[in-house]
Parts: sequence; C-alpha cells; structure tokens
Amino acid sequence: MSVTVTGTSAPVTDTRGRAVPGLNPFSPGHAARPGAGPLSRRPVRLALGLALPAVLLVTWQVVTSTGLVAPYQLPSPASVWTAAVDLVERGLLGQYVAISTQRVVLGFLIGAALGLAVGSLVGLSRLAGSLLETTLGAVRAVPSLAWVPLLILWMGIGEDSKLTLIAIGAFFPVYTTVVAALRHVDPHLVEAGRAYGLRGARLLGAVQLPAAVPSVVAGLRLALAQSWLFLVAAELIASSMGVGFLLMDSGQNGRVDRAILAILLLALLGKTTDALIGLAEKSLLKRWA
Amino acid sequence: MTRTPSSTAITSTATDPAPAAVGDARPVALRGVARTFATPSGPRPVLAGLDLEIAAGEVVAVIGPSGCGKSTLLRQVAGLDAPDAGEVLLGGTPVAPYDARTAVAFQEPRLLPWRTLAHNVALGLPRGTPRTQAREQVARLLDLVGLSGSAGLRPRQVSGGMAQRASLARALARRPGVLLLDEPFGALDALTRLRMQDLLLEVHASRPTTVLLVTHDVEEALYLADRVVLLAALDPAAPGAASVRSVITVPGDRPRDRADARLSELRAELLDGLGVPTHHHVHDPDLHHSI
Repeated sequence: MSVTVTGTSAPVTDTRGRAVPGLNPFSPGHAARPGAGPLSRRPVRLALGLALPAVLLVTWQVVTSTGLVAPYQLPSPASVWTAAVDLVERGLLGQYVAISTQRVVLGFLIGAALGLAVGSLVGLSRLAGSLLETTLGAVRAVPSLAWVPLLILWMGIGEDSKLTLIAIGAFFPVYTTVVAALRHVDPHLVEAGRAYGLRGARLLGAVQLPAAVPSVVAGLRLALAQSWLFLVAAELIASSMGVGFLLMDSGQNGRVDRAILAILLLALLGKTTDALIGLAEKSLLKRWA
Repeated sequence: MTRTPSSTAITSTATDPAPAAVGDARPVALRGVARTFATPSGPRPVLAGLDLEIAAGEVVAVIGPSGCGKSTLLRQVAGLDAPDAGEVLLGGTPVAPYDARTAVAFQEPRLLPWRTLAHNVALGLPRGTPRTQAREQVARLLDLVGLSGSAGLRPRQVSGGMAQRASLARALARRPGVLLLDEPFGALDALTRLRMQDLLLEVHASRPTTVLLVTHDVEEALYLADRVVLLAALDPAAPGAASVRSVITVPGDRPRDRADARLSELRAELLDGLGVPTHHHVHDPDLHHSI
C-alpha cells in the first residue's frame, strides 16, 4: 500500500485519498472508536458463520468413519455425496431442485401479492377490516397440512394445488405485517400528506406504503421461509418430483443418504433465497435507516 | 380589529373561487368558532365563541398558555379540523377540508424520512406542476431557506433546524394564500430560532402572504407579528374554552429592534396576560423572561 504522508496535522491517506486507519490515531477511521473490533469486519463474521457447519461436517465424518453410528442410520458424508452425483447423472437432481424452486417462487409471488393487496385494504379501510379480519384470522389458524387433502380433492395432484398451498403459506406473513404496519404509520406524516393535498391512492403510494416498507420487507422474508415450509408439505403428500418428493421417496425406500441429501438441499435452497432477499432488503432499507 | 380586509381581495374571490387564485394573500375570518373534544372524562371545550379577523398579507401571532387551544385554532383555519359551531372563512369562502389555499408548517418538521429534502419540498408544489418548472421552484425555495447544498440529503442526515427550514420551504412551495405556522421554531436552539425568524421575515417581505403564527414565545410574537392575539379562557361557565382575550397591535416596521423599549412594555403586558409574573420595571430592557 502506498501512502502519502503530507504533514503532521493532515490525515494520512492512501492513493485513493482515503484515510489510512492505523496511521491516523485521531481520525474517525481509527479502530478504537466504539463498536469497532474484529467482529465489525465482514470476512471475520462470515468465517465465524461457517465455523459451526465445518465442525458439524467433521463430527459427522468422525462418527461415521469410526463406526460409532451404523451406516444404515447415518451414512458418511462421502456416500451422501455419491448419492447426489448419482441423482445428477440420472438428470433427476437438477429437475427436482428446479421444480421445487419454481413452485416456491411462483407460490410466493402469488401469495405475497395477494397479501399485499388484502393487507393494504384491511390496514387502511375500517370497513374492510371489520368485514375480513375475523375470517382471515380463523383461516390463518388452520395448520398447513390440513389444507392438503381438500386442495387435492378440489384441484387434483397437479401444480395448481401445490401453488395454492404455498401461496396460502406466503399470504399470511405478508398480510399480517402489512396490516400492522399500515395501522402504525405515524399519523403525523399521514396528516402532513393530507395537508399537502394527497388523498386515496396517492396518499397510499407517497406516504403510507413507503412508511410501511421496512416491516413489509421483513414480512416478505418471513413469507419466503414459510413458502419452503409449505412446499415440503405439498410435495411430501402428493408429488412425483421435487425435493419434498425425494425426501418422502427416500424415506419409503430406506435411502437415508438421499433423505439427508434432500434435507441438506432444503437448507441450502432456503438459505440462498433468504440471502438474496436479505441483499434486496439491505439495499432498499438504506433509504429508510 | 385594526385592519379591514381589502375590498379587492373579497371581490376577486367572490367572483373567482377557482384555485387559480391560490398564491394571493387571503384574508381570514373566524366567527363564533367553538370546538369541543370528547375525552374519556367527558367533553372538553377548547375553543368557544372565538372571533378573529385577519387582513390579507397580515402577520398575526397567537399566544396563550400551554394547552389553551392555539394549535386547535390553527387547525380550524387549515381545514385539518372543523369547528362544532361558527365559521371559518378564507377570502370570504368557507375553509374546505385540507384547504389548498393554506399551507401548514407543523411543530415538528414532519418530513418523509425516505425522501430527500428536495423531494420533500416538491411535495408542497401544487398538483400538476410541470417537471422542469417543479425542479426550478424547488431549487429556488431551497436556496431561499439556505439548503441548496443539502438538497440530496434525507431528513435524518440533517439537523433539526435544517429539517424545519425544509418544512418551511415545503409550505411555501404551495404558494399559500394563508401560511399557518404551528410553533415552527419551538424545538430549535436559541440562535437557530433567531435566524429562522429573520428568514420568515425575508420570505414574507418577498412574497407577502397572510401568516398566522402560533407560538408560546412572547418575544417571537412581538418581533414577527403585526398584531398579537392573546388566547385565554374567558367564560367562567365553560372553563378551559379559550377565546380571544386581547389583541395587541405591535408598533414599528419590521425588521424590529429586538431591544426596543416599546416592545418590552408590550412583553410585560402580554406576560401579565399569560399569568406570568414579570417583575417588570419600566424602561428596563435588560430584563428577559422565559416562559
């Protein structure tokens, strides 16, 4: 690193004009400021986050290779890997992951859009609130699995029933957060909006929805997690492909390696989509923080 | 009532109530205004039998003890609230809900936190302002309140004084016939407050709109206003319901000398009216009192 030392009082800067932390004891970049420490650095946090999975993997390897746990109960990491390669070679793994992801994304989008629309209505209109809130609260109380037989009877075992179930799962977190957020928008801001001539859809678009954005984004994130939950519920019971199907099929055939693979896939897929929405959340919320 | 509304303003609004006239200073008339709020402990009268005439272009300050209905009075004029009895007229026509002829600068800046200062000011522009014209006006207003360099910042990134200036610019963007200010400088530090008062005078001198200013600061009222209205509960039968107790015409042209001896006399009179013992000695401008 090439640094420019210009004098005693001017901050020491690198070639791009940024203050060099270690050489500027009194500049705000100095590491002694409150809240700073190794944990404020991103690579450090990332490494710590990966530490536990690494420990688990090593433990898994040790208990299986020493014969502490029988292979029919817990196969070794290598055999799970082999099962994955085998499924990839048959062209099944890619297909399962793709169809499951597609179901989750479509179901999530449908459910979230409906949740946003109905939530806005209930959150803003007292009439709609009185009409709908009780019923929706009761529907929400129904456990996800309870819908499955009914949806299959109504829609068959095709994509429709699965998407509907996932949409139901995604609907409620969005609906509840939107309702609560819209009801708690600072009344002072709403009044200011009205005083400056905003009404109806304009007021919703300019003041109420933007004010609700942080909680709505949190609701969307919750809804996505819920979508994966409902996906497995849908695929466990009636499907011929997908990660949930892989799980159920392996369970029936005693393929513990594939079952573990399916669970690892769900963890990986869920974490990936959550991380993606987390990135979107971060860039969006920069304006609100 | 020291002034009567100019006859031209009345005739022009009587024949042309269209929003095209927004931007002209409007006279304000409150006649027999009463407002009672329902509270858990029963109805609480706040205003009763309140009469007040404000000429177009006049600056009127309303002072009164805390919770006496100053803000309620202002909200009646803005159309943010409606009186239970009596009428509020702007330029001869009744005030409408959220009346477009008025603009309010609230006690708190009430800026949208996710918008830049420039976009917050733009919110005040009348609907349908062409884009290029809107940009010019926002730039001009930000310049007027000394925020040109902060146009792209969001409210949380600026100081309270800057946010309050942006709020004032937003109100001015509406080119209001009546500018309503609800203790707009109350939360600011003493120095910023003095600067904001001078800024308001500059703005008023460059575009004389009617200004109704609610304040708890007697000095501020005397420095800014043509007349100072003292609100107080008058009717012993309705305790708490405020009405106009007295109206003081402030002598001298603006900008006034803050240390003017005549003003300190009036200050003592007003503080007395507010029930604050002033320990005032005649012709002693060194005495300063805060409420």
